[in-house]
Amino acid sequence: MKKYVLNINGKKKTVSADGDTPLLWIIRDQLQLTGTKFGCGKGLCGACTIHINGIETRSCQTSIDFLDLEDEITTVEGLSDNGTHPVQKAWVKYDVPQCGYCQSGQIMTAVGFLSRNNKPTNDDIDNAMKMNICRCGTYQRIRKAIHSAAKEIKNG
Amino acid sequence: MDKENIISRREFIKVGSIIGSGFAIGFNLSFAANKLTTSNFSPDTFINVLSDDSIILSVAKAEMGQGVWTSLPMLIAEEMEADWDKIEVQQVSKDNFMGTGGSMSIKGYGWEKMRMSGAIAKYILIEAAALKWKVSPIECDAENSTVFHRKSGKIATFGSLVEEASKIKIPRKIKLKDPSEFSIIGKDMLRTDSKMKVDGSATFAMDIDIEGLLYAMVERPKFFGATYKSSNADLIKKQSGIVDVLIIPSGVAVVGKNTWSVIKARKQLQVDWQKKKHPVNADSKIYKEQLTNLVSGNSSTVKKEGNPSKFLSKSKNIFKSEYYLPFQTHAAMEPCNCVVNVSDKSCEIWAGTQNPTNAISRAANVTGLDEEKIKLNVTFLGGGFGRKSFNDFIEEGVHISKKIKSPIKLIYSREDDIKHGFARPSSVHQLIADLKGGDINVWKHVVVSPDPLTGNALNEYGADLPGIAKWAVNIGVVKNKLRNTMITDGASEIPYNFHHKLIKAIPFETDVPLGFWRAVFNSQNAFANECFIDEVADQLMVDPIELRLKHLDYNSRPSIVIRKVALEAGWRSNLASGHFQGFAYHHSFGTHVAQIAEISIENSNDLRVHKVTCVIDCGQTVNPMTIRAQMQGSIVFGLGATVKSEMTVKNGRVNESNFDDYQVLRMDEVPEIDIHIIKNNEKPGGVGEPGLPPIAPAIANAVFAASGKRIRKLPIRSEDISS
Repeated sequence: MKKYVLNINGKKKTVSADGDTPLLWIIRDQLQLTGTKFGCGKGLCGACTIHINGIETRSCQTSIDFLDLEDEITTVEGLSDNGTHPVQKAWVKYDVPQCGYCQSGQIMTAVGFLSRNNKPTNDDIDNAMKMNICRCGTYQRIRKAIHSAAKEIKNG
Repeated sequence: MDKENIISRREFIKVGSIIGSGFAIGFNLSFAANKLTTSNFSPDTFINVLSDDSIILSVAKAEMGQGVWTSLPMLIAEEMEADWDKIEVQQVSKDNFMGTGGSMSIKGYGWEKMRMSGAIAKYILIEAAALKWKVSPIECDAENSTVFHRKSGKIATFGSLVEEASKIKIPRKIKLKDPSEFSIIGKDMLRTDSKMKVDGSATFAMDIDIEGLLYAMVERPKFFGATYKSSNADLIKKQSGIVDVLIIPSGVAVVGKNTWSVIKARKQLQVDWQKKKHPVNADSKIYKEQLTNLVSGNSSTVKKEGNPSKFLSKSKNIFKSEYYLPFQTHAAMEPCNCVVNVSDKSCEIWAGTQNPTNAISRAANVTGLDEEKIKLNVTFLGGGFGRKSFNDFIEEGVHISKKIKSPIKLIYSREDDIKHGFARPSSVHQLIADLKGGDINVWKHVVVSPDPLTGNALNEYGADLPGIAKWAVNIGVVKNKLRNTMITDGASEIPYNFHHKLIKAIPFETDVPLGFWRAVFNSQNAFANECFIDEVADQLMVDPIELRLKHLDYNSRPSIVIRKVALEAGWRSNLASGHFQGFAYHHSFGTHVAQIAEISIENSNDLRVHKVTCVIDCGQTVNPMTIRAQMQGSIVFGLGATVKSEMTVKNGRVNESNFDDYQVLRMDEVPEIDIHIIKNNEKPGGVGEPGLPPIAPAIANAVFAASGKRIRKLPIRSEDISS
């Protein structure tokens, strides 16, 4: 076990873990940030998506040892105060969630991708989002919500 | 219209609010409610009217994405004349829950009970205001969470009336609104649980943390029905972070201080299993051969109309086809898990289960505690689709916590979820028609399938049946009847008015653990029915929709949805070049659904689904937004099973393990989905499942239109369409 200082959601947190521990389990078991979900453990479903330095990352495939001290980690809890990020607002407006389990991951992927492309086409959205599985089948509303959020982000 | 509903004193109770200062109407939504006597009446759902004007609804129904947290409160708010913005919902945390499955939330229970409870609350508040103002209640009315006196203009908020309300008794009769007076029911309402599902705060069982929690995973037998022989458990116990390794009835439990230690240690665990000597049909290849061999053999008649056998034996124009459907598993996004804390005197469980009553009875059996000592907290479910009707995972959690004397969180890996689920049975269907006079004279459907009630599920699910029913399903005659009825669900009640019909069932045995999958047997039987009638239409050289309409009354509900979908989709007219359409209709759970799929085949074998037009008649609608979400979800779920997913077994074990080999539909494969809801005042039908059955045959029929290739087995593979 080693000690690590994580820069997560703008706060410094000290944790003890084996170096090969995936960030997913640090975030969930130790830091109690349970919005990030376990879905497959193999980077296939996207439920565990977080941001490292603003880039969407599969936390189940990222060992704590892999991080540098200055790396900024963001989870869904750190995305905004009170769920006010344009993507979160669009998700509510378009009634996206059903069971809700995959939605933190969907939202983190969408936010990361929109930061690089604020005028996405349907194909852009499909390409960005196809690594995130939703078994309830909310895909069509996710598409609509992303278009709407993109407009709000673009107009600032 | 002015009919009054009689209120039984055994159905509703008025108590002090279970949450804060105010009063509550308690009632019971569970299966057993009608058998309850006054002495053991234990409500599981409450409308709490609080002095601060808020109305908190404690619902016993598990929210697994189907929207009950929104649709059930709408029913109450409508009758209560409550301000929708003042209603909050929470999961009631009591030990008396009901199952969530079979598309029953509104169809079976919610509709009348929820509305009556809202009407009772309104009655009590009006009586309370009348008492306070010393006027006649007939002169008072309620609106927008207030009561007002028409003559004097006096007005009081619901919250200001809770004290007087304590003096008012539940009425003996209550009048419900006429549908023409509805102002909430039938309107689009945003979900009440979205906000907590976009900021990470919604709590699933997986997210529960309690003092002293340990983490556990279970290595289960590699082969169906195998038992534990030996293992290197002693070595694993010494691994870093591991607290203990326990042998429990279902396998070997590795318990540790954190999830990652458990996952790592489990990789080192080696277990020898005692394989079952003669596994029964536990290999996909053998299973399929056996099913197919049986189809022309002895069968039991489930339904007979007219004189089918006579005409079939004399027929000069027999048309026949066979269809095969594979196993499917659920793969809900949240793998099974639970948190359990067993002590000498009590057992507390947090779990996302579709069948809470059964979970409690299993926990009581394992712990030896009375059922009253089992406290079950039903959390949000990260998807259910039928898998979480089976509480094997909760029973395991209880075993582990009891043995290790500590609170534990049991987690399934995705591999555990896929390898140790309860599959939709794989089935074979033989369809035979006598085409006398250029029409369908006789329709015969033979279903060969195992079913979840006769095998493992009898024990799994049986605990939820009342004692007498559990005993009865073990009697041969009853068991056979139940089994035959179940496997022909969706085959025996087709609406087409052919002169002669014969529906037959052939049971099948397998060691593959089976369960209930979204839409249950309707998913298999609709595929066979609707592909076959399409084949017949081609044989008779008539339009497949025309052939169906010919056998339906013009003003019947099936005819209306079918004509509507043809209109909305522009049936086989003005299609883009290279695009083709296929049609299917099915009735299940009291709801009629018709769909038209528009596809193209690129590069001779690459199937692309461009658009699905869907028309649903589920009777009186509650929340159209929920209905559209459920149709989209069912189409996506069903389309995955049509073009991608397949569970297979080999040598007594499931081959697939994760989303790389059990593939599900992803964003880039989702067609445009256009949904239309028929408006009428028919009895509310289910919406969670009926959208699924038509999609597979609609796609298969479109593939035929595009390629001339008949799809008679699922899922559709590129070799099935290549010319």
